[in-house]
Amino acid sequence: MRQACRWAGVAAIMLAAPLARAHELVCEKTVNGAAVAEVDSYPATLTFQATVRNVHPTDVSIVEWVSDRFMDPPRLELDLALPVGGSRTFEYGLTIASYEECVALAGEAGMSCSTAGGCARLDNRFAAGWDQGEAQCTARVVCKPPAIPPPPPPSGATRTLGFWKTHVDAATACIAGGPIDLGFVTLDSLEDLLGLLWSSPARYPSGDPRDALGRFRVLLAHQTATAICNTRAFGTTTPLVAEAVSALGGTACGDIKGLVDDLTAFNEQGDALPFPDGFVVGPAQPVDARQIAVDPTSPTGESCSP
Amino acid sequence: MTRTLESGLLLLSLAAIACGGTGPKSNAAPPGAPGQPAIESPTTPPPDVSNSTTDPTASTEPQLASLRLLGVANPGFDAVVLDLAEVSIEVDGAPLAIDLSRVTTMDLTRADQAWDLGTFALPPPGTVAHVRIVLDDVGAWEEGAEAGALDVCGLPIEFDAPAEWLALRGHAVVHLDLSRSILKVDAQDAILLPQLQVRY
Repeated sequence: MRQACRWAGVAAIMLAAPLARAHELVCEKTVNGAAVAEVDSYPATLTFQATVRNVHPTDVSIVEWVSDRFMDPPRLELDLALPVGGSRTFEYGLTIASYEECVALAGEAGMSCSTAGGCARLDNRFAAGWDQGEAQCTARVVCKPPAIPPPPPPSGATRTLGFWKTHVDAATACIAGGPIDLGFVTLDSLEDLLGLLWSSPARYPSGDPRDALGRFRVLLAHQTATAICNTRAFGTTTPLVAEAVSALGGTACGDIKGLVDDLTAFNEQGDALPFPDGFVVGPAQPVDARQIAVDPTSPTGESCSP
Repeated sequence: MTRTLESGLLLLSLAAIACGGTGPKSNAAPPGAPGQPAIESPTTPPPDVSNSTTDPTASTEPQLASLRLLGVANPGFDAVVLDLAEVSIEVDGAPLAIDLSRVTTMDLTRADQAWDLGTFALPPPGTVAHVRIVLDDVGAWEEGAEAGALDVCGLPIEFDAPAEWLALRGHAVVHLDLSRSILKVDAQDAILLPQLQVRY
């Protein structure tokens, strides 16, 4: 017998009790007018705008409180009635004195990664509560260090993943150089190469989602195969390829993740340089390339090692 | 807070739902409910038909609540895959024991799936549980022929959940708005800036 009607008594009590209205709010937040704002000079003045909107289809919603660590005070108790479709915007400012202060603020906020690509990320959350729920919205400030060292000069021509996955002739020439060993899978054919380059980091060809290891492997394999084709086509080399193939053959997700950005940077560094004489580019054929592609990856049963 | 007496029809509905087991879940889980995201075992949240409150101390059985994550407002992604890195719940600064689900990889485009992140004992009435959910970088997205990485590095999802609200239906569900939370940076890369609602 199910727990039947254990809550019927509660319902009966409620017959004599008032019920709350079904409030419902959403919020939208911007910093300097956008969801993401970049700052490259200091002191930097930021203006946050957070708009709370009643999205209940038929009823007034009551905004009971709003909060944001950059508001003064950081939490406001309200009893603000918003009609159907009605909204209220809150505006407040923040001055960041220096890049170092931005980094410190990001650290205080509890960011899971406060710096990325040499820049500091400062995410900031606004929340608005109603009775029995809340809406949250987030905006991001990307703080650039005052002096970014210039990138090293390109070591040679390269092309990015987007080039190699859409240029069938170039990809054909690349795989003609022999099988490509990526540590966890070997590409033996044009179908394999294009299949890998077009593979979704989100899902296997079967539609099943890739777990973390599968996802990281695909993201690094994209860049590794691209780098190998850059070496074969243009003679532009990097020791990162050997590191990447080694990492891809293992299950250390931290190592795999750690190489993606570096190898991507390698593939981008010579993208503006002209093709070497004699290189046959061929036309961009994204539709044909996609049709040729056969994703060579499949679940391995492995998972990220600690 | 404005409160009002609703119609008798709604009350009849409530009584019917009560017979289906809609309160905070006990160790005997109620069945699923049509029209709601299908929740994987062991529980399915009941229909969201009222904001009525219940007394979490009314039963002597241990009462549990679950924490769930649901992708909503999908603008057309075929897949948005994320991993769960960490879940923690504190009451008055003390960690609450969580029976973590085995869910690690979640596809948030599944509109019928509110992913079970963990189950915990309802905190005492009058207290507030501080919930913290950390997603594992990197996620991934797929939309038509395009796919790429989803950078989820950022603030953890955090909110305060009053015990009485958790007791309403035995869960807190984070509704992550996919249309506003995923921002494409270029053809391959996107970032996650959570825009969400927490519902009980």
